[in-house]
Amino acid sequence: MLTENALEIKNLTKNYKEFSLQNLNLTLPSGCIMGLIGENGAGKSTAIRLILDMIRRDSGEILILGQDNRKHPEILREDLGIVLDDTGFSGCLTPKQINHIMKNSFRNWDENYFRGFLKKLSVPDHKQFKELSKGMKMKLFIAVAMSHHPKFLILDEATNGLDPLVRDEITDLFLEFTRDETHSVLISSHIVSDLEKICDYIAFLHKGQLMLCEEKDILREKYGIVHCNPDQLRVFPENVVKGKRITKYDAELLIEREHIPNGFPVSPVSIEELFVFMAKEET
Amino acid sequence: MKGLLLKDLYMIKSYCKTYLFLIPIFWILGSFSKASSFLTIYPCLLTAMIPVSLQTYDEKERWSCYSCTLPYSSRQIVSAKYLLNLFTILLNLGIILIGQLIRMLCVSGFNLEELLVLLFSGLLVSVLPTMFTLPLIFKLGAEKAQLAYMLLAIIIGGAFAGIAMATEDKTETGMAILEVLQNPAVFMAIALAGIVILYGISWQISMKIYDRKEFQ
Repeated sequence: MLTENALEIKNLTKNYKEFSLQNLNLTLPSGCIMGLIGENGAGKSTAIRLILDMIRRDSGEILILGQDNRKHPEILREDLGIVLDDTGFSGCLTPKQINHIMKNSFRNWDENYFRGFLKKLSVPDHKQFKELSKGMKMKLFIAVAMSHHPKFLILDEATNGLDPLVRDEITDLFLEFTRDETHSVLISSHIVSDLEKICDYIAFLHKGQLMLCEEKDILREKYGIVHCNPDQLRVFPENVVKGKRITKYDAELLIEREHIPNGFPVSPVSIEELFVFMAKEET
Repeated sequence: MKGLLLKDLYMIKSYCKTYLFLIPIFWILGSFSKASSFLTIYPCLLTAMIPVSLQTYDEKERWSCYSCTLPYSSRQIVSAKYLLNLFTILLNLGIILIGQLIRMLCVSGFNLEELLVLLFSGLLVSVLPTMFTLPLIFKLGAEKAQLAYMLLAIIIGGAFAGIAMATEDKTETGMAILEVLQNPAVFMAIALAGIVILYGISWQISMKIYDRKEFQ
């Protein structure tokens, strides 16, 4: 059954002593990839652990593939492929043994797909987990996450610590995964360039608050960077400037294109620049 | 739950090699030596610690967190450890039974009371560490649980000392306890019922603790 949205989060709140995730609202339509961007400690992992019900929310509602995430999560996980940073298999297990474990865990485990995946990603199946490099470990996690044919991949910092070649290889896998319109991906990372390459939607988290959530192409069309000298700053009302970088000799302003007066040079904004400008403005 | 048990078996094969080497030696020595009680029961103590050791590895290697991504409920994750303990208990008791029957028939002659006492002691030693340690580990984590377990051991030791003193001083309670102890069949029946109830309570408590646990 195709649900309209892979993920719906309404007013999600979690309070810790020194950090709060406040009123998070997100919707990820089925068939799309959403990137969750934020600095370290912005709340990305907290949000993902709340989605997976690994930590208890204080308030709010989470629907995954149309179902409440707290109602029979073990059944729901049959349709989820999950990769979390900082989790692990027992160091003594080999990919071959992991295959047997997963075969006895997931209803739809596809042994041939898993073996093919490992071969494709050059992960040796007789080496113990503790002997694998970080890149190999991550590839193994991704192979496990995808070999029971899930509908929705949830990936927390799945590309961190990997070299650019491996990251490119892995992000291509996610793109291939969403060719099926029933498949969706939520991926968090602070490597914005990876997300810029593959995501349809971008959500910015900053200090526990959602700054914006929008289609990537709309964001690029909507915003531009204006180049001017510091004396010209007063031309732009404070409320239209979403971020700025000012030096003694020049200034760069992040502004919605519709508010940019004629005559100013405007350059397109990358998602990384957009995030840095906005996060700095908030700081 | 098969996948979880299989994972634990792979881990036993890899991490508990010393146990797997020592246990058959003790079984053989226990079946055919004069100091048979200690040697027979010691493997039970070793295998009783296996679920606890595995849970400690699971925490250290972040498997506990990873298992939240698999299609298992928290009850199944907890139950896998208790079932593993039950399998090892059954295996131990089976081997004690066979070893002692062979010894008795070949050497000393069949003695039902001695056999029952050995089986009961094996059961007690197999069950107690897991029963008390697993809920503590699930609640506090392996490191803090060790301290709590030591404290608990002192309390249990104190309780036994109290019972011993009560029987020595021939207090009313002491006499009642002595009467039960003098009849091994009654004592074992009462203790067995107590173990089953406490084991069930420990299992339930662990499931409740794990259900409320947060994985950062």
